[in-house]
Amino acid sequence: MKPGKSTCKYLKEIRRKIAEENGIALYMPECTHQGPCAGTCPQCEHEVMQLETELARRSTLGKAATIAGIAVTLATPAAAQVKDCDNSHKVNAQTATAAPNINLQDTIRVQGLVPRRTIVPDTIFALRGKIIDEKTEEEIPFVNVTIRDKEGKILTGTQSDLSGEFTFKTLPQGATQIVFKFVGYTPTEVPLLDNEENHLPITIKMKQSSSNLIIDEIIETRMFGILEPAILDDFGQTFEKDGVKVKVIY
Amino acid sequence: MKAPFIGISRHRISIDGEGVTTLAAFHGCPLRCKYCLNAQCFDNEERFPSYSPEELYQKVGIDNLYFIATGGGVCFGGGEPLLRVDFIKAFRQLCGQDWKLTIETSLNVPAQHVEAIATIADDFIIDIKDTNPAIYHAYTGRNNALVMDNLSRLIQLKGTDHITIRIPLIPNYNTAADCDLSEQLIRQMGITHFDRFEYVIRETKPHLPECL
Repeated sequence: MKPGKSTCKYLKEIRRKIAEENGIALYMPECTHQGPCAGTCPQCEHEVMQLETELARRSTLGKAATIAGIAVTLATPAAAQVKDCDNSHKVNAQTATAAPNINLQDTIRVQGLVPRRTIVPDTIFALRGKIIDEKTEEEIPFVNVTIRDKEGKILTGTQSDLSGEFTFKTLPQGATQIVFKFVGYTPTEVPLLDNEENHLPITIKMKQSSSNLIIDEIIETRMFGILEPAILDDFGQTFEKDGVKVKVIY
Repeated sequence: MKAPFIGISRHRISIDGEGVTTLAAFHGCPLRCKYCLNAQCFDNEERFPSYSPEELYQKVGIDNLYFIATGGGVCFGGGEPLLRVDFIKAFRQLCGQDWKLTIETSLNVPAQHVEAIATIADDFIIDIKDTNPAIYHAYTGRNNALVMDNLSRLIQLKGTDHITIRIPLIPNYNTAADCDLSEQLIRQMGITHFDRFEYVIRETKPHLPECL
């Protein structure tokens, strides 16, 4: 089994054990992804968030959580995590030690969306979720998140944090939709519903709007080994790089 | 207070000690090891993201359950983490005692940094390179007087159970016999946890620039 897959399997077992020890009914579909795996993906991250949310909820109700050390005895995957280096050497596979410069956003694509939460009118409950880019699956911070009534009137609002996450401790009466807005992305509206699993976090995928700047070309330089991207707009015109934040270069 | 990081690596299993760990690698190092695995820590720090202790805590906190369930936590490396003791101290105040904090260091720093970190971090992984001063200087460009003094100091402050010494076999710089001598010397100081490994030189093709 490849390192990424074995890591994923191990972490999944930890999640399963935490859920079992704490009596949490956690939906954990089997991963059918074929191909390279970084050891985690949006579905895996979603399961962790579900566990965190449920354990936090139980903590507010005075219920103790069983977590510490419960996975210490689980068999760990093989330690052979050899990383190819840019320099002229590699570490022996028996004792890999290097600090790899891994892109935290390297994940696999997950088919399908996480379940939507539903509400019944006049019910007040907490809402929590994460906002990611539909294409890159990167978290998007500082997204404007507003709760609105059926007429579209804003009842309350917040902003996603550096991890792309947002929370509402309570929801006002009459809340029927949640709207997500951020520069460069198409505004996203999600109806609010309700069911018994109303503490499950949601994942929102926002789509970049068509008027975005496109990184269309990379011009490689040999000065200090730094790649200088050329940023072009939809019409092929070059933009100055000052003030433009380049998050990902593929 | 912000610090530049050359990388954050999640889901490291049994690499930085027990449990699931996240490695947070600082920019900047006083050494210039010929085969440094993270040579980007010598680059201009402006090209790397900087985080405050609060931002880093938020970033790595997604793996909180794994840390607690497996006895893991965060390993600070780099670069040289003992140049950022104030940062690590502030981070510890945020994460409390639930997460294990491990330091991966060369110990080639002023003594006060070692004294300060001893009460903050749980475990230490020390890459000693070689105890022979000539070999050490040839490989790193610095002398190792501080290293051995700091190791003695750390043993006094922390005991030997929480210290692991890494001894690399470095082609063209030391030999297996040199490594044996290093281990023998350090065992006499009371250390019992060692990680012996070997660098393997790999030939690389010259990278020719493409015509633009």
